[in-house]
Amino acid sequence: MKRKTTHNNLPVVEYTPDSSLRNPLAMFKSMWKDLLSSKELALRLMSRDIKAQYRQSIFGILWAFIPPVATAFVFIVLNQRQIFNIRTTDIPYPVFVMFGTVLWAIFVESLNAPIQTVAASHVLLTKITFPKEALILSGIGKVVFNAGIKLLIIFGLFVYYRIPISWGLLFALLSIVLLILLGTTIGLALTPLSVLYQDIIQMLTVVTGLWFFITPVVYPPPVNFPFTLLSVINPVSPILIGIRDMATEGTLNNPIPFFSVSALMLIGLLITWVVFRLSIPILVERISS
Amino acid sequence: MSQNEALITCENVSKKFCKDLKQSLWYGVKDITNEVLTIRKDGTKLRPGEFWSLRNVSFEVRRGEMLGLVGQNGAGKSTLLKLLCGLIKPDTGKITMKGQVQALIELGAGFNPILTGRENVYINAAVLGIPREKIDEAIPHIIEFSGLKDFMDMPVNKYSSGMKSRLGFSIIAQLDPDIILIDEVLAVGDMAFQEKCMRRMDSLRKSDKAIIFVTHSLYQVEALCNKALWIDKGNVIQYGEASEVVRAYLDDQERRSMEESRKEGVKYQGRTTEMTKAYLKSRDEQRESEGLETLNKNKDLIAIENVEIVNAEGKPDTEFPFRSDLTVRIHYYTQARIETPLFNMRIFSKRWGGFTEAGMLIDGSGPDSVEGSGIVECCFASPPITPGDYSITLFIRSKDGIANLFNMRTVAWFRITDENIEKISLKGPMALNHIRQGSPIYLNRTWKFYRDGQLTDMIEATLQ
Repeated sequence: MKRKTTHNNLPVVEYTPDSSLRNPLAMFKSMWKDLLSSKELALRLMSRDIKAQYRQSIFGILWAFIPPVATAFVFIVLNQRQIFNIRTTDIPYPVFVMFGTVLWAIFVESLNAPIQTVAASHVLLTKITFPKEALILSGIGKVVFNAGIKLLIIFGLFVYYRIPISWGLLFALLSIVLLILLGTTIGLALTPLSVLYQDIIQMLTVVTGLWFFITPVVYPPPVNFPFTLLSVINPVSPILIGIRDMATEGTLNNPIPFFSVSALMLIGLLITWVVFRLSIPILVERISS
Repeated sequence: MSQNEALITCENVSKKFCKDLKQSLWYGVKDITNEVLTIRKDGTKLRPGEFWSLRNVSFEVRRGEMLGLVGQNGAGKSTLLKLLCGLIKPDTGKITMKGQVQALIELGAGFNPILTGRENVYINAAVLGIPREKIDEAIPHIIEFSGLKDFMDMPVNKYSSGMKSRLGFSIIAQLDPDIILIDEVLAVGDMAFQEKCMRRMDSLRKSDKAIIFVTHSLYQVEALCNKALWIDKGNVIQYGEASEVVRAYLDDQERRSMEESRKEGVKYQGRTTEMTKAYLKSRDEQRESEGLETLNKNKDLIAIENVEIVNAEGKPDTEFPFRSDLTVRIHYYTQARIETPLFNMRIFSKRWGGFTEAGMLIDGSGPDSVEGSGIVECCFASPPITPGDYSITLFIRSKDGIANLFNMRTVAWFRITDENIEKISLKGPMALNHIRQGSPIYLNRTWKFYRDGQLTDMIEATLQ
């Protein structure tokens, strides 16, 4: 697809069988343009989904809390009864585990968001031309909205256990954006395939279930080799640990993995975005009735 | 801005589709890989299991023109629209679109069922790219146009499908793009709303836009479009003046429908008469108040309530002996007085297609006028139609022969039996077979044989 403008200011679009990546400059330009022009639509779609989500529900917003709190509760009990033994944490275990499960819930939600938003928008995708970036942005927006609600729990716990509020907390909040983007990147990378094959969604449920246990969510980061590898090969670990450290201790103990994952993630996000854009017309062709 | 610049140009565009789902999905994975690695693929070859959904389609639409797309279901019309608005990519060729494009492929796509009509208007407008300020401005117009004022705060899942489409179209009607692509969306809603949409389309056509219009209503194509493109199984069959294409398409449709109906032995009944009557009435009222102008002016319609063929005794029948009198009796209804409608019939043989036309277009004269309910009879006195199965298609034209008052449609079937066949002096073992297979009508003839300039023999074959 090429965009030009004629002398009388009519936008001209050409559709040919060639990949738009053959003209990368034009492609990046239109990506930027679509990103900007999709803001308003993204907001609309986001508020539509949030409204619809809570309108047909009794507990409404409570559903943002319930899953992470339930998971945390299980581990708090298991830990108290000494069934599940872990080394002592720097902050009270309930705060530690609650923080962990909330962050994990945010990550999983952002991982699923692009796949779910695109799956719920088949009709739009096959019938209407609009900047597809809006779908991704609205997905991120919903995750941010739900994350904000979830963080209220953390805030409550901080007050209850009188954990000092430091500057690190501010950075921790900012880093939650990185966590969401990490989830979005991985989710977006799987999105094109997930449109074609249901297997991806099934697989993702299994994988996130296992992933939970190899990420230091309910236990502190391992210190003995080879278990320390878990935080090297698992991209979520450095970010999740980093956020929790900054919030509770005010410092980033392991900056190198944290920043390298972040940098790789941003490059990855750009690549997955390009792939997503390129695959949309092909996906529409395959899913349209 | 030049008046006649081509806003839509479509050059040799082809698109292939795959019948098998699993295979199609796998091709999808391959295509995405090629796309990302920018591998140029050979779009002109079909992979196993694929077929051409569109093949080498070329046309252009200029400013102020309206192109009607006609063709049977699955001919490739919707695929073409999706290619034009960039939802999918062509496999060969090139499409150039100049100006803002608005595609109406489905009305109200993206409506959320739980949210109210008003909320959905905002969302739908955002999807279509209307900025917020403009929506606030347009909201009263949208509500007014849709006629759904009392339902705006009701969740959309309580709307009927017609109401959803009305709301959808009302949003679209507020837009002002250069190019409009419409896919059969006007076929929904009640008659009065359809008429409203037609009027809106008519005014759009006059406002220097390039419009492509997919519909099964050939009346709409003829009334609104300058040009038409007829596609069948992905191939362009005909591209040109709307009325010519529509006529050719109708002929073809008639042939097909006759074959179908003949198989089932269905007799034409004016099932839609009540609806047509209501339609004519509401349209006439609206036309009086607002004055719809279409390309074919004075386009009034005639509803056909029933068509029967009666025998020499005056009784309706479907089987007739050879050479017996045959009268086609047409019960019609018109809302208003129509001056000199021209009734025409074409007789089709099951095997050989249309072979003769009996019509006032040929006769060169018609009745002074018709109004209300009435009967037209056309009597064929001992027609030389040989034994076999036949059908009659009816079409009614306006006084000038241009406007269709009743679209060509198969209205009756009959069979000529072998009874009285001895009226032809049959000779030889294969005579009857040859009459059935090769000769829907019997022409009187005389055979003469000469040798050295001398008449040596003469055979006269005539019907008694």
